[in-house]
Amino acid sequence: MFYLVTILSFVVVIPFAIGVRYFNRMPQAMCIIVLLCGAWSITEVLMFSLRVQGINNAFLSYALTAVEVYLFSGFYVHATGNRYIRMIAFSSIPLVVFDYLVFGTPLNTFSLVVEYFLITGMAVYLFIQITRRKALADFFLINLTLLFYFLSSFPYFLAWEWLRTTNMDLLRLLAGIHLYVHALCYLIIAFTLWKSQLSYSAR
Amino acid sequence: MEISIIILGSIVLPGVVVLLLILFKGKLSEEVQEKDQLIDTLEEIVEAKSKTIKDLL
Repeated sequence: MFYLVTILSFVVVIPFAIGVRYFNRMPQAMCIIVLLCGAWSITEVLMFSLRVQGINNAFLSYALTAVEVYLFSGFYVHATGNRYIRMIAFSSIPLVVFDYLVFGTPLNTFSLVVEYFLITGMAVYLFIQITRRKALADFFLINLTLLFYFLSSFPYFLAWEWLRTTNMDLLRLLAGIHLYVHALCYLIIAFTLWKSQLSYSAR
Repeated sequence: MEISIIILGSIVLPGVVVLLLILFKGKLSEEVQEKDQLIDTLEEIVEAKSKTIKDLL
């Protein structure tokens, strides 16, 4: 089980490697997704090493949430051209800092829920823009993947605290599903990055 | 019971949302294309009318 968890966690390296390989041939919004995959890869390595040494990784979880908000807002700003998205997204960063200062647990449920609400809203906004503008059609698959990624993570983080105290077996099952879904999403993101560089260099 | 809720929440519901969006995208794109065609037709009519007015003047 431990090896499987480790392997599935590190699937994120695949989209990062593909993104780095074709970084110059991609639209700016996709480059931000590559940076995000880089941030995820670094966090996986750090979290894995901290977990092995038994060190509390609360700060890393909160820092990743803030970085995700920054990079995702950048992706949606570049994709839609609407700068107000960044202002709305940045308003959540004080909430993340507040959550860290007050609670500071390794699983930052409150700030994750805020972040997931924001990203789901931005993804729906981009979807509406995609239906109106043909130029945004390249972002359709990655937008749906990100939406699926965050919607499927939602019950995992919401039920974490409750299941940790009541039903550990069920929590393990949920964590397993979460890992498989994430690995699938990382592979789809890798495919989307590869496809976007093809269509971008063909222009 | 709890297992089914978890599977429903983490796989089925997000999957259904994504499928619905895929279905709606086709329908909404068709509507947008129809509107674009209508706008093109209207622009052609306006151009033709303005040309006629210029000719008359």
